[in-house]
Amino acid sequence: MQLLTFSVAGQPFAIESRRVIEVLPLVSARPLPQAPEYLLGIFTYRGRLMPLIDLALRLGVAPPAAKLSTRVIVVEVELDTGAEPDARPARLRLGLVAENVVAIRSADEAGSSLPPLRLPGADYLDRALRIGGETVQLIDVRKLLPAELIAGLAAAAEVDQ
Amino acid sequence: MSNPSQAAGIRRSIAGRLLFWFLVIALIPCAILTAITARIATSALERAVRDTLVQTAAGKAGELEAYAAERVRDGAALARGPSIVQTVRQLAAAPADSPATAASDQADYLAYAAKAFHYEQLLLIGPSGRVLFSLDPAIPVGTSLAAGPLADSELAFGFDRAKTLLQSDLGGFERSGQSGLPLAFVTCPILDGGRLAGVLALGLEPERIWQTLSDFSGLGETGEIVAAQLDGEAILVTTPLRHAADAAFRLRIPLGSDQATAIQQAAEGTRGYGPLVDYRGVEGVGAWCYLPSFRWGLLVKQDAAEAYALIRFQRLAIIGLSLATILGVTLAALVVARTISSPIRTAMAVAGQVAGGDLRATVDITTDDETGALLESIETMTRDLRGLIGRIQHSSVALMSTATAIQATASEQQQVINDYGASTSQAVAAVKQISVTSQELVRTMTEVNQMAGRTGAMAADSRADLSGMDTTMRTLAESTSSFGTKLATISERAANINLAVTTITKVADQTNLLSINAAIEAEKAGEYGLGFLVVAREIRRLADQTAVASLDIERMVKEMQYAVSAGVMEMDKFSEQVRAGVREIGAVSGKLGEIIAAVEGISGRFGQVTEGMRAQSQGADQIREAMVRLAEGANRTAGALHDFNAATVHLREAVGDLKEEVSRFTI
Repeated sequence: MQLLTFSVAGQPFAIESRRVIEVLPLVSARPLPQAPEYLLGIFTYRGRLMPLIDLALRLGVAPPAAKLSTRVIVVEVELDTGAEPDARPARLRLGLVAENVVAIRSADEAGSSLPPLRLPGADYLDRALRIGGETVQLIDVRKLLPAELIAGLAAAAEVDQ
Repeated sequence: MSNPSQAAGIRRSIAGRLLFWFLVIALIPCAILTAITARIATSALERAVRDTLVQTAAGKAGELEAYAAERVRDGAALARGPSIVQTVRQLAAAPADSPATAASDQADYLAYAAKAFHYEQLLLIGPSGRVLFSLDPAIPVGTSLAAGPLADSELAFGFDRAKTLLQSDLGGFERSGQSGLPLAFVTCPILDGGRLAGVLALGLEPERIWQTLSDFSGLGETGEIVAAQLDGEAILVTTPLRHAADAAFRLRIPLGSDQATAIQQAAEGTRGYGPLVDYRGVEGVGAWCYLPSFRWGLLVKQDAAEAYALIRFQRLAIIGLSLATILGVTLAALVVARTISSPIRTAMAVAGQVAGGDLRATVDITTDDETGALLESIETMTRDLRGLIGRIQHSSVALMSTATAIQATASEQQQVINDYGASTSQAVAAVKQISVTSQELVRTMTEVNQMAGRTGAMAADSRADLSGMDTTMRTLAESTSSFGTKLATISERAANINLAVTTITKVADQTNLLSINAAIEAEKAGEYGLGFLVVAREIRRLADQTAVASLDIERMVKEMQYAVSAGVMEMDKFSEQVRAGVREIGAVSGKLGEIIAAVEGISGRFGQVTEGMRAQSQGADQIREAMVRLAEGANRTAGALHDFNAATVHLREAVGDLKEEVSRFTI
């Protein structure tokens, strides 16, 4: 398993690379009214509009100034709509702004791993891995956003299909 | 001018003292004597009232006690009579259903005996308490005293006492029927051979007692005698009263009441004398005692208004007499005081007028005693003063006009001299000022001339030095600006390098991004992408190395740029300073040339001016000396005149004072 690593507040984090569609240079988003602080707005990707999330703000720390290594990770989330189980599930694409997105690492190098922690309000925390002298925290992008926000954004996803 | 308030003060003082001492001498002994007499008379009168009341009470009490003893004694004698004993014996033996027949032959005798001994009723009672014979229709024969309505009566109590003690006794008064007078019974045991055969009860009406108590002789208009007995929680009045004729056995006064206190004490067995409040609420004085035979209280009293009428009259007489005496003494004192103080007041008014300056005052002499002589002396003194003051006034007016004329002339002369002296002094001061200023100028000119010479020489030296310095500075400025140009070129080149490094960094970043996306795509390709994944990783490594190298270059170039730009800035600053120095030197050199020229021109002219000044200063000195001598002469003249003027002013002031003093008097 390959992991796309990045850092938040100086600490290493990772996302499974099979969830990643593409990594883009930093783009600017159009802000949305009444949106949570971490929902920076919407941006255009290959002719399609999609939401842009700031990972640092979502994880509860203030984002540092943008650098060359601050990039947008485009991920795809399967929506659990509950209807038509045989049909192909709806998919929502999100842009995640993260810092220091410069490397892909193999999870097979991991020395040891910690099962997922269950902290209230932070159920997106997945396993933690020990890779090359660093503890890398995995983020489960499917649980990254609250259910009601996912549902709200799903409308856009339906149109996209 | 007179002084009425002062006069009144003196008069008050004399009159007041006379009045005071008159009153002290006349009234104090009189007042003490009156007070003592009044006290003795008052206590004598009080004692007389007391004696009358106490003696009356004692007399009445003795009389009533004697009457009671006599009644009891008569009853006892009657009970021992043989006919009574025999009658009782017969009545006791007679059958109970017809006692009347048995007693009929004795009835006349018993009725006679009662009348003869002044008893209103007569009863014979058997030892068992049954009535055997009765003159009283209210108590018929056969009535029992042991039971029935008469069981608690005074008669029943009297019967019990006689039966038990075997002694005669007087009972209390009690109303037997609905109407009629109350009766008291004298109960006497009837003994037949040492055995109690019956009891003789003799009824008494209170008429006799009331007669005794209605005798108010010696008690005045309001005096009365009150008798009362205890009756449960109240006392019952037992006599008709002077102010309430139907009070007997009707008027009840509760015990502890605020009214009729004395009779309450008497009925409780106390003897006394003192002020009291009677049953009507009227204040009075009385004496009271207890009558043991009747168990009555007896009070002899009189209203306070009447009892103490004499004392009140005596008090009014004393107060009236005292007031009349004080009035008489005061009038006498005032008349005497007026006789003495009137001439003194006249003399004082005249003296006050003279003191105020009015000598026209005249005196009316009305008496030929000591005060008359005093007034005559004052009259003479005033007349003499009037003549003297008149003459002084005439002389002082003439003297005053002469002094005024002299002073006016002297003042005028002094003014002229003063004006002259002042003018001279002003001229002297002005000339002196000119002389001093001229000398000062001469000295200053000399100094300036010397300094101008020295300045010229120094300026010439400086100018030569400055020319050499100017050349050196110019050379320095030229080399500095060429060095600056070279540094600017270096800075420009470094900027170019920086641009290239930035481009390299961007390419490395793009390469890194490309490699990441390639790796992601390779993973999605699964087995087929494994080889490509390795390639992607290599690309990324190369990109990273490039990025690190370009960062190093960027840093070094930046440092160099900082150093060069700092050097350029320093060089620019230095170059500017050098150029400014060159400019200043040129300006100073020009100024020095001008100074040298000017100083050389001035020096010659100063010499001529100095000579002229010196001559002027000498002339001014000569003028000043002449003026000073002139001013001294004027000053001496002015001083003499001033002294003369001062003397005249003194004279005039003296005459003025005299005139003012004299003018206070009115002739």
